[in-house]
Amino acid sequence: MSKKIPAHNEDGVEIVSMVMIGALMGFWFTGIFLGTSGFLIDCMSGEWAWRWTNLLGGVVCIGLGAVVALLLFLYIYFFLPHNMTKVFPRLWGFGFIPALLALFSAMITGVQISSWVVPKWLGV
Amino acid sequence: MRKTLITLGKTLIILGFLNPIPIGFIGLTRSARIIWDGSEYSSPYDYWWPGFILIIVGFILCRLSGGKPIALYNKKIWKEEAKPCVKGFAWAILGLLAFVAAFLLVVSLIVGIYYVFFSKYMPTLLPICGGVCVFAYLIYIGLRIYKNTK
Repeated sequence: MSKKIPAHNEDGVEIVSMVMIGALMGFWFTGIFLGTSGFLIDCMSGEWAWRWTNLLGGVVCIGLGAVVALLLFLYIYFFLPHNMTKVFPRLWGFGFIPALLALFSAMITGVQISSWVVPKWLGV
Repeated sequence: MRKTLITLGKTLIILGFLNPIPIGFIGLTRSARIIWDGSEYSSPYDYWWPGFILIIVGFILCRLSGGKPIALYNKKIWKEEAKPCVKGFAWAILGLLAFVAAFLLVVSLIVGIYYVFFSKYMPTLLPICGGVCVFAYLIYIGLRIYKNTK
């Protein structure tokens, strides 16, 4: 029988984790949107659609989502003191506000990184 | 002190994830640009790294707070807790990969149907598709006859 861990025995979700999940979903949606729109725009203009640049935006954003997932994992298991999860209100209703803000922020950041930062690094 | 540090660290992580909405609009990226290249004007969408720096500083403060994380709280509990978690994490990644594969398959199907029926490649691709269908049907008929006369 293992000892009870306080962080695992309370109602609600820790706000920072919710923010990270929001950001993860924002990168994820943006990746799907960019991956699809690149194909469809090329199709509608009669161009050849299976070019690697069409996949780049989607792959970059989905990769960013994976990085945030890794951060969340690290945060919960290596950075978050187990008895310090109650310093913010741990309510679903309140947590959704910063989570949604993080979702929209991640969408903007994802578009910016995949349309400007990564192409600049690659020199395309 | 410990609680102050962890609160500060968590706040910084949250603020880092809320860049550019709404944090970028109240001057974070503008300050970044002033520090980076000395110019005053900046759009909130200009830089991605100010938020990233906040997140990293928040992580460091969480570690400096001195509280033991769950992984270091009790090795035995950590091993018990980590097993299903790592499994769940692996399944989540596999699920995401499956989702991406399904998504690419559907998009490729839509794009492929577009090329076959609605694009300038139609005069070439449509006869090829028709030919492949007829060929497959002939092989099917041949197999049926072969089985019946065996």
